[in-house]
Amino acid sequence: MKPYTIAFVGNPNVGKSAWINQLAKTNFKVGNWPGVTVEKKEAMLIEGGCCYHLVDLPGTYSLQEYRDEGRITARFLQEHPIDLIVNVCDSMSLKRSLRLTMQLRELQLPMVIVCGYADLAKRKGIEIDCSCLRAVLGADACFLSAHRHDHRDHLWKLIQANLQKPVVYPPIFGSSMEDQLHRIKRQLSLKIKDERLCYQQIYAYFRKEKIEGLPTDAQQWQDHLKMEEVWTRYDEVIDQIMVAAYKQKVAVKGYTIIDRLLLHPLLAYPFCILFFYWFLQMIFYGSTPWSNYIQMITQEYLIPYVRYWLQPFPTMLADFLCDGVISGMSGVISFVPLMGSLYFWIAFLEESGYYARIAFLCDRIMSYFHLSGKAFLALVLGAGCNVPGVIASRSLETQKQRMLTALLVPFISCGARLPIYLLFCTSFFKGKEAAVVASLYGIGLLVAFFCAAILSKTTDFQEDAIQLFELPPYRIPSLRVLGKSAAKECWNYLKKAFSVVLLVMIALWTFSYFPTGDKDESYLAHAAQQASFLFEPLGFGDRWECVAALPGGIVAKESILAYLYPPIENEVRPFDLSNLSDLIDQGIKSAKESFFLQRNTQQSQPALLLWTGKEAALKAYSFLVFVLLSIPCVMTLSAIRTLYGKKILLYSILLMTVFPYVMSCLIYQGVQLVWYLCS
Amino acid sequence: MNDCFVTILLGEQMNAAQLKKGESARVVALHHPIKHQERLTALGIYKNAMLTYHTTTLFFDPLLFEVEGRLLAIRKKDAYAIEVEQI
Repeated sequence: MKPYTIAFVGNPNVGKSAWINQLAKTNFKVGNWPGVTVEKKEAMLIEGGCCYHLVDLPGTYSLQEYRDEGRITARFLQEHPIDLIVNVCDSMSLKRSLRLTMQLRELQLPMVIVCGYADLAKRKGIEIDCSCLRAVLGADACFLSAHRHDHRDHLWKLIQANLQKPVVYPPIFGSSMEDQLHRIKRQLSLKIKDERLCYQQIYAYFRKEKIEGLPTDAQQWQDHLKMEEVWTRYDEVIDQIMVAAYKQKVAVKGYTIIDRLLLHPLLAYPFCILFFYWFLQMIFYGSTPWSNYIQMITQEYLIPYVRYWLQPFPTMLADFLCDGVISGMSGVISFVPLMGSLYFWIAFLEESGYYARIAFLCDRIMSYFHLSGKAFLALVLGAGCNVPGVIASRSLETQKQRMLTALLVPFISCGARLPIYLLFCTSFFKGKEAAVVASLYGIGLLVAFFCAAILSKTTDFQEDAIQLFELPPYRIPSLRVLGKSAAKECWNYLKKAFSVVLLVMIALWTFSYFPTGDKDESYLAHAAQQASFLFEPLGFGDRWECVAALPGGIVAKESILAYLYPPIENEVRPFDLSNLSDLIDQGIKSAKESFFLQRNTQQSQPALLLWTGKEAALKAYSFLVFVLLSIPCVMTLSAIRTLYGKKILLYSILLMTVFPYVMSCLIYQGVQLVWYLCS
Repeated sequence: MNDCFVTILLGEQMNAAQLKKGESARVVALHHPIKHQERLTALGIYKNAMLTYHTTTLFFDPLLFEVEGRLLAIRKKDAYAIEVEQI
């Protein structure tokens, strides 16, 4: 089968992915470009005995920019054999897109120019003369919309016609450089007979790159050329192209009435706060009924059935499968509704354009901690689940900022820690639950900002990049695309859960089961009893159960509770068809609760009896602070490792071993000191 | 770049942070380090470009400009170093 490589290049947010989706219709293979946290998307299309490898290169404004996206795109286009470049331009801001198009011409590769968003542009009265573009630029151009099937076919025909076509793109510069262009062309064509190679040298000359064999006056002219002139060398030509090929009835307004309201200095923040409140309510109350449903299926139906079937076998097998594997996995799977919801709404925010507005509003606060406004969103998402928060850190501008944000996200209290807080609150802080939980969130944020302030001064995270970003125009995102992307992320989460988390869970179960099968006599319990002296300064070291519960937090935060809850009677029940109808009824009930965001009445929980007396509340609080700040769950660690590598993973583990110890110690000893001084 | 330093440097010249709501101006020069200038140029802010200031947040930072029909958020300290000429 003949293989072809087609590279899709264009500015950010022009819809390159939408075009690849339209052409390939298969799922993307998504990964990271090596060494950086920039998404690499590829798709394969097999048609007519040929295999087409479609590569979605990161959006960039220029091939010469120092940012990761520009460097990756430039390097890929230079190092890989490319059979065709599909340059996707934005019809609504064609001038900016054409700057990249002119740079792509310099590569002398076969190219097709697609002016996307044709439907939106035509509605605004914009018309693009593609034959004029073709005449000037020398490459086939089309004015299309990614939503239409006939446009897809048209583009595919153009691609087929231009694949591996031998092309020569002569240089076109403005009047200020035209004389010098002719001079250099004359001088170089004497030495280089091949027209393509000659033009490549000319392009390199005007990019201020060193060229061999030029006379001194040409070298001097090049030395006097300023960088601003190099960057804007095509602007005069682009202006002429715009006059000839681009017609618009009404000037496109960037600052619309929606922005006047949503970015109004007085209205913006109340609206933003309301939005976050509604967002988190929807995420939690929308997904909790489903999470409870999954847990209910496992605990009340699946586990009793399995125990019933495994009665003839040794109890160890039943315990391994039920407590070790099924129970643990159901805990992880029950997070899928929350994750799916989060990913769907993150994608909605990004696609609609409101993400950038939130970043704009939060930028000032974040700048005190050397972060950008987009980092604020990653932290807010971390309040739902740390994994999407870490993944949202990808949207930041530079690699160092992304790494720093990924280190801070685990300090934010995620949804899995809430059951632990609530259990301790009902046991030790009756009547003050809201205040305690709010204070824990506050401590998490404070520690995160403190870390940011310190780490941003270290060489690993210090940088001098300019912080400016674009606010893209508002767009109504396609629910189908959002749903697809959320489903894909959930599927990746499940795949990771069934590999990494399962192994860690089995390891933890083994340590907390053997040698006798009683968790109070297990290896983990003995180790916790030996090590509990280390936690004496923190207050909760006198109860080894708390120390034994901590490793569970590395598997999944809610596993901490497994050691603290009193043991429940193992139910055994045979499978009964009537249970199916119960399950369906419960499913419908969950769907209703989720859709209407109904708050479920809290089931009464057994109170913990770990401590009594004056210091009980303080010890409980100290333990909660430790749980808040301790090593994140293995899914978060895995996300950090995949995106940023081992070094950042080790940093994260180090930070989240040192900080919880220090903070818990400070709180416990500090409050005791205050009591002592007051008494 | 230090705000005071840049203001002294520009002296009588106007900078982008001094524009009022809805005012347009033409960029005269960029007084940033070269790497920052490249980023600004890529996003549409370069010599002779037209920009319009629209709004800011309650904290008066960052500033929202419109350039070539697109909205850009620029931090105040970076806007100080964009020398402009009102038209």
